[in-house]
Amino acid sequence: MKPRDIRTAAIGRALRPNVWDVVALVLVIGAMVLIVYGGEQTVAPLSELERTPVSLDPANLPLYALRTVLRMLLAIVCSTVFTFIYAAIAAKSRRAEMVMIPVLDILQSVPILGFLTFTVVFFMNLFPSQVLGAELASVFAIFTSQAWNMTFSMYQSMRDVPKDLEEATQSFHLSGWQRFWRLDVPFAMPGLIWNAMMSMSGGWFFVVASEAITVGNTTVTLPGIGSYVALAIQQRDLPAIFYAILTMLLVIIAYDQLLFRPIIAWADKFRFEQTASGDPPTSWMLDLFRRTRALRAITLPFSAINRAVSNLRISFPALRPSTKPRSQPSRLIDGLWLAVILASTAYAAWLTYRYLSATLSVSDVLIAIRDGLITLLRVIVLITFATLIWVPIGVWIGLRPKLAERIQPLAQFLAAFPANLAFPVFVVAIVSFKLNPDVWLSPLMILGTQWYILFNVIAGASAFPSDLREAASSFHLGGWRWWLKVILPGIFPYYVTGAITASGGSWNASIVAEVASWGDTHLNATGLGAYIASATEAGDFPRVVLGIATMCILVTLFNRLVWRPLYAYGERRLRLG
Amino acid sequence: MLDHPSPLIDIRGVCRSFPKGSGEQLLVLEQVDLTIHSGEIVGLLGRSGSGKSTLLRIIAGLVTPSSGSATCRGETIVGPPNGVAMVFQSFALFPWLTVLQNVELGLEALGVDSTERRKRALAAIDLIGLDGFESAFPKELSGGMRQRVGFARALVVHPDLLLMDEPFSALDVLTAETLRTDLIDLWIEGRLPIKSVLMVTHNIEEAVLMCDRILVFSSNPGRVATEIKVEIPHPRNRLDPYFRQLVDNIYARMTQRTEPKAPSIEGIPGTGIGMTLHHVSSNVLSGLIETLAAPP
Repeated sequence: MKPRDIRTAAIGRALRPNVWDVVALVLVIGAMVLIVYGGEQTVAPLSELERTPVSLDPANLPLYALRTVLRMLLAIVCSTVFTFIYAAIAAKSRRAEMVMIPVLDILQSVPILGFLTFTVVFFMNLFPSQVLGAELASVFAIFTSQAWNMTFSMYQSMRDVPKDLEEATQSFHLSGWQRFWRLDVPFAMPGLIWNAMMSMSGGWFFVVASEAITVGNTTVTLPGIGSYVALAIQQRDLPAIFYAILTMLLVIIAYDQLLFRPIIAWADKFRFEQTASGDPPTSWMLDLFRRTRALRAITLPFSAINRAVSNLRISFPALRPSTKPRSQPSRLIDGLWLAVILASTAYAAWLTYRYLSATLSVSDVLIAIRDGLITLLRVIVLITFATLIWVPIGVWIGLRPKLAERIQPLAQFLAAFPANLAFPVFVVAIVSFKLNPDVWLSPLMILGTQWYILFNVIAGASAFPSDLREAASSFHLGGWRWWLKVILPGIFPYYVTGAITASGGSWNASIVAEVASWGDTHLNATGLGAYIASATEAGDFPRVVLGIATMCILVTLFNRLVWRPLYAYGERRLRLG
Repeated sequence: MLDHPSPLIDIRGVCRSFPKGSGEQLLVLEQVDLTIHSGEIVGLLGRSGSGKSTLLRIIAGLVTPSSGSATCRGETIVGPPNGVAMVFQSFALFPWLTVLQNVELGLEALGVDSTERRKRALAAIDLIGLDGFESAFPKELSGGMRQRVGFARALVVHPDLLLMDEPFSALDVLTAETLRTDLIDLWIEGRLPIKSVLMVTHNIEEAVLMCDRILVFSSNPGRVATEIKVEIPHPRNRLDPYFRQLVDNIYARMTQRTEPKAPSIEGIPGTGIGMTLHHVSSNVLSGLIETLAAPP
């Protein structure tokens, strides 16, 4: 038979290793050794941390970097698994969706430090007197900074699956499980990878907070780049900060080259387009693995297993009953479901109220709200400034494809770059010029998040159809008219996407940014971020809860009242093509 | 049973309406009857929006009728029935799967083991003229080749009924013609592993060229206006006078205006587009205008 021949011939040739195999093998084995080595450290008893505290010796940095990298890797794996399960359930079940999507919305607005406060005790008790507990708490904290936007992206993709492909899967009798792996996951892949990269950047920002954990009396400092930076700030060690920046730079580049580039190049086939577009993304790493023979032969069984698993005839309810008038969802069950949700919400509200009212009074709530409004003002002002600065620049770059190609990775790197490292500069400047911390600490909030606006605007401007540009110039549209009538409407949906991310990130960053320190100098700005940060440090749980709840409410309201309508407007009126 | 085999598809009095934005129901199919037997190519011909695609999707089990009965081999259609495969206007190929993987998809869903699957897929690819493109991705192929993949994917499951939703309308004229004749050749040679074909089209010549029976749909709401048997033997020649006559005939039927409505009796006279005006000479009209313009 013809197919047999092809197959055996391919395998026979594949078994002879070539030179690329050696290179790839070294890389794979090296990665495994590093993972095992890093993993061994985590099962050490907790007292080990006190015996060998984090030191500023640069020779330790590679090991610290390794531990941080492993934590982030574990967190991204957890985020991916969580995303697959949560998004799949939310997209497939209408009743689950009613609860799960708003919950996700709230979770997204809960600041990462808030999660840390509650989970650190839990995880420490799970593995008493072992480093593992603290490690898990740290991983969980990073996870919370990564998972939500990935889940949203996957959910959105699963809802937007092209109709004809959906019909094809139905018509060819694919089971729900098969459909999930053959249609939903591949279709969601590009968005998911993009968001995973964003998440990774976001994770770096919180590495300091999640490695040097201080909650009330519990202080755990896990060896890692984050705690190295924290110590360097505490000891006013500028060279150490510089070393940390250098290490982070290297790690971010390594992540990009060894993990994300290959994934992007590989995932190019999942882009939903019917015609091949210009230059596909490339990766030397992926090319290397594609050139290996023996390694590929080893991976064959794995891909066979993968295929067998995705072909399992597990039937779960895959079809939303949208096209079937007969299977109208029963009103009764809907009603019951709604009642259950309302009852449990009321119960949770009552519990919270009872817990908070035992220690807090109305004035505390008013203080939290006041602080929240101050932070809200900061976010609005900062987003406005960032918009005024980055939109024109982004448009200018985006309309020059060659330039955009070079700037895009730079902007991504800047987004990944933890703003905490810039804190010393700000603190020293504020102290020596006797500036008002309430005003001058604010820029720290947007230091890491402004880039989202920039690269979304760049993306929008480069996607702007050239025929529209040509039409505009042939009608002699110029000056402000060109901005108002041509380019701003064109990039609006992209801008809103960027601005939503930037404002969400700024809220989150306020906890880190409104309290900055450099050695013994502590600067405090008034705001909700500082409120939560100081409550966390004091181990004052009721205030932490109150602060987080206030932040959630403000962020959610802001999103619902400002960003969602803008986004919907953009989608409805200004989406091109 | 053998003397009177139950028809492959039996549609009786099917209606289908979709909710409009305003909350009303838009009736797209009204009282449609259709029977498909083994060994025939049936065409659904009509303007866009006449509900023919909806009818096809009812048979494919993707849409359920609002009323009436739809059965496949005597069983009511609930979800896609076994032995029915579909070719899409937009091809509906999975861009992340190669040609071979796309073709194997339907077999994987049926749980065919991998050797058998590979064998049948390669046979289908061979049959439809895609040899050598097994490992290509759809985006690397031309439109005509892509639709060939669509055909191979449908044929590989050996369906009793092949549903085609305007399969050639996204292709350029020459490519479409090649694909059509290839398909008809395979059909008359009996090499297609199928028993019947139901195709939707808005191209009259295409319908006359391929079908044994054509159901002409009228629009708003969609219903079967006429049924035409095409009794020209394959291969058919487009320049054959009888062929041309048939095409002109159908064209005339499809473009025929609905009879003018009788002038409305009730309501205020002078309203409505259907009102017939009395003959009035132009000087009488200008006299009327002068009278109106004159001071009272």
